[in-house]
Amino acid sequence: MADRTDGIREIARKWLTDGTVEAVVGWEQGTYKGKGAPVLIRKAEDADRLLFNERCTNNLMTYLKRDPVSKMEKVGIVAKGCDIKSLIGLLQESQVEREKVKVLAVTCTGVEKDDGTVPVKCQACDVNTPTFYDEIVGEKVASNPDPEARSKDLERLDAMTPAERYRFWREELDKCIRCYACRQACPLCICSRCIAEKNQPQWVETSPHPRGNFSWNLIRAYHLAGRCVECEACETACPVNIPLMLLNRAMARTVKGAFDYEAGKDPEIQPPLRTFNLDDDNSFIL
Amino acid sequence: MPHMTLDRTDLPSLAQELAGQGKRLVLPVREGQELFYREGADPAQLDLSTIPKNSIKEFLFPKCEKILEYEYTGNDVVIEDVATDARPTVIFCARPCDAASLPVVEPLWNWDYKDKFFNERREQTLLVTYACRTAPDEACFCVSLGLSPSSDEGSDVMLYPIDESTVAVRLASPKGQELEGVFAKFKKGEIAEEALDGFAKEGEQSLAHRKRLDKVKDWLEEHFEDPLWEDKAFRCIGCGTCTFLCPTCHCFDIQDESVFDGGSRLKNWDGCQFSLFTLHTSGHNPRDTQSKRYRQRILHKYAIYPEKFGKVLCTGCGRCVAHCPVNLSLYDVVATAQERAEKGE
Amino acid sequence: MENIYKPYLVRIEEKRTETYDTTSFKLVFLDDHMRENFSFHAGNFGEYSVFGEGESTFCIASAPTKKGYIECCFRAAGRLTRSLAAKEVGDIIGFRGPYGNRFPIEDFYGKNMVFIAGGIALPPVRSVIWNVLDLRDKFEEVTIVYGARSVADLVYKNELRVWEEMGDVNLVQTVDPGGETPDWKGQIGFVPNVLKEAAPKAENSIAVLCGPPVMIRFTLPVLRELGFRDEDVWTTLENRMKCGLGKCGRCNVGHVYVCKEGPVFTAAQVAQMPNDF
Repeated sequence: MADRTDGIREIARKWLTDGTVEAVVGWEQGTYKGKGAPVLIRKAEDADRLLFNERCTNNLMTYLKRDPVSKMEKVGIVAKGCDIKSLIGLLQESQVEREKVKVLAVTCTGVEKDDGTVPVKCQACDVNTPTFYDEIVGEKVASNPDPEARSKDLERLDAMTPAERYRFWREELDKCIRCYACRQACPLCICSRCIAEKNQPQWVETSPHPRGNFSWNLIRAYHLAGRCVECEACETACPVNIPLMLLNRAMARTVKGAFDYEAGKDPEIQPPLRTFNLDDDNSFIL
Repeated sequence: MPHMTLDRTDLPSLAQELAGQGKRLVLPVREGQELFYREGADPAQLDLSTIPKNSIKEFLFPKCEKILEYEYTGNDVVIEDVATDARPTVIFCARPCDAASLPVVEPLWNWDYKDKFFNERREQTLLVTYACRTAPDEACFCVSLGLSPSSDEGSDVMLYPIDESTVAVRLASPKGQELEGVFAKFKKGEIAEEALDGFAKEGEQSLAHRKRLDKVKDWLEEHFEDPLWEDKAFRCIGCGTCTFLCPTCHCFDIQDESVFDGGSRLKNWDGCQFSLFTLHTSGHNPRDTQSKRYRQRILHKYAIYPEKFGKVLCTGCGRCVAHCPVNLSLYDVVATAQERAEKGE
Repeated sequence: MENIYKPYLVRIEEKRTETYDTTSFKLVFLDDHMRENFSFHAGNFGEYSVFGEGESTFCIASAPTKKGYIECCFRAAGRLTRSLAAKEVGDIIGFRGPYGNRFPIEDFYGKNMVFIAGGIALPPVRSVIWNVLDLRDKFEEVTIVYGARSVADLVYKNELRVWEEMGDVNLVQTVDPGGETPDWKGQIGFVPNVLKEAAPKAENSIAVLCGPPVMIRFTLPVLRELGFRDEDVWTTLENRMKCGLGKCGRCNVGHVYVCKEGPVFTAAQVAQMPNDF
């Protein structure tokens, strides 16, 4: 996919020269296991630092909420189809103005994590060739999502009794060290003060003991229900290897079943847990 | 003086023997694609293929520990001291960069006020270190800190994997020497001291590409305001991965948690990369941007800590480089500082 | 090994509402031995606990010359201070300390003392003021310039009266323009300007200055104009603290750990510090 690199550089250079954007967020060559690393390019002459390949795993949309990008009026972002889904989520929630973000989309055949594995999102990808963008680079890639990919590991959970499932999550969430890499990497964790950072009252215990970890991780999963686009930034970032996507996919499956809704598709419609209509289906509640 | 050698396949039994009855045994085991140091792991699962993802820090300075208990009766309150949950511990096959972290942090935990929790645990810990024949991961840079893949800093016993089937033993401290009898039970043969030199050289050679960082401290002190910080720290997302995986990072938070009338005061890991770390109640934050917070991290490790305690607060284990979700390499930042210093910039 | 995180228990013997958001306490140690033997120096601070809520950092606002009790004064601004403000006389709280460095009072013997404080920053200065007044004949002239945003924001109002009535203390009180009440008899103006008019002499003088950063920024030049050297201007730095023991890593300003090597600094030392506070 290295051929996208030239296209990205060209467009970035153009945008920076003609003032379309103040800066471009993209990937440059990283320093570990060949991965791509996020970079902010402010000057046209630095555009040659940008590149794209299958090791560009990060979701760069998370930088929209962070200084200095949050303060910019116009910024360009290099994005894969999965990244763009999270931008759509942000647009649905009015967290960013459409005019601010210039999307430099890349067609993508899938990325590879540090351990050489291909994430589930790539196996299930239906946005190899993004349809939401300002400019697009790369030859068209047909989507061929594996229909089982997202549900495959949920089967493991489904096969458990509630008691077994509780024990499973106890064991996994006990490992949590409250580094908040999940939250920081997630483009949709946008609260200026996270619920875990409030202390009047202390809604969520900050301590990394089992009770505190349960609170944190389950609340985060709830706050993402119907919003998470399954970009896997959280699970990839987690330094203690908690299978966060199991939780997020289980929530997404529930939302799909209850509301027939999938996140990150249409900027015009609201996620179901953020809005209500008088004729909402209540049959599964009442 | 010659050193005894053992059969590599005897390592699990050795671990079991050292742990004896009732000692806490910590050793590296595989979980999925990675290794972790785990307490109570089965010695038969001992995996030495690479450096574990976590450090040994959590066994001396847990992520959450109780430091006090309190109980209210009416308006009166009673507080109870808490005994350290220290018990005799064997950390088996730590890496040299992990072992070396203990002498580095020890002065901090004892700076005028002595933290009993760290000290009591350290005192009860036997540290058996497994030297790296070559650097186990491309992120390693222990030599940059004056250490090496076979350094014995902080270790009680050193194990050197001199070939596929043989491990040489060196009892590196008085605590280690007391256990000569235990190791002797597994003795296979002997090896000359000089053979270990060759082993050490091989390890250092594998990291020959890493820079010495001797000019970094001065450069940092002169470049508090430098565009480098904003440039390098852009990609930092402000999580605690580097801080919490780091064997020498030691910042903490104190939290009270109650259930009805009683509760505990806890000491939890905290980190300078979090946006709230230095936030005043007034709303003022001296480090209100990630570049300022990241500067603090580097300065603390490579300038402030050495100035106070004579040691860099880093052992080059490379975990921050390997596991940073956005590949912000601390090594890259300090190596850049070193380069700039060498060029007189 | 002793537990360095374990506080002493103290009982609230007196509580005074200083302003609408500021409270002061007089605290007495429960333990007889501590009560009799506790000593500290002006400038030291402590960590005050409400068990179940946490700890907060304030200076010891009473003078070391007063035995048997300590005092603190704080604004209810966050979780801990709000719960502390709700405590009543007789309640038990925790105290860890004394921590930090001190004002070198002995080095000030024989000199004129000029105290300048703004708003809630009076308490740390008050500790030094009483330390000096309790040893009055060791010092020359004593000037106190104290101001707040409004009359309602002045703390230790009862003591301002006591100092006013002392023959050998020159007290200048001020409120910001617009902060006066109809019966206000003090000055009206910002502290730096009022200080300039009061023009205490710089020769053989020590200035002790505490206040919000904006007040310090405008007061230091006035002191320098009056002839004070930065080495003779003493202040306290506030920073986010937690352990008070130099271990939690929170409070450093560059190389300086405010909890161990501060909070008392000269203006000359502060000028050397990086912009990290």
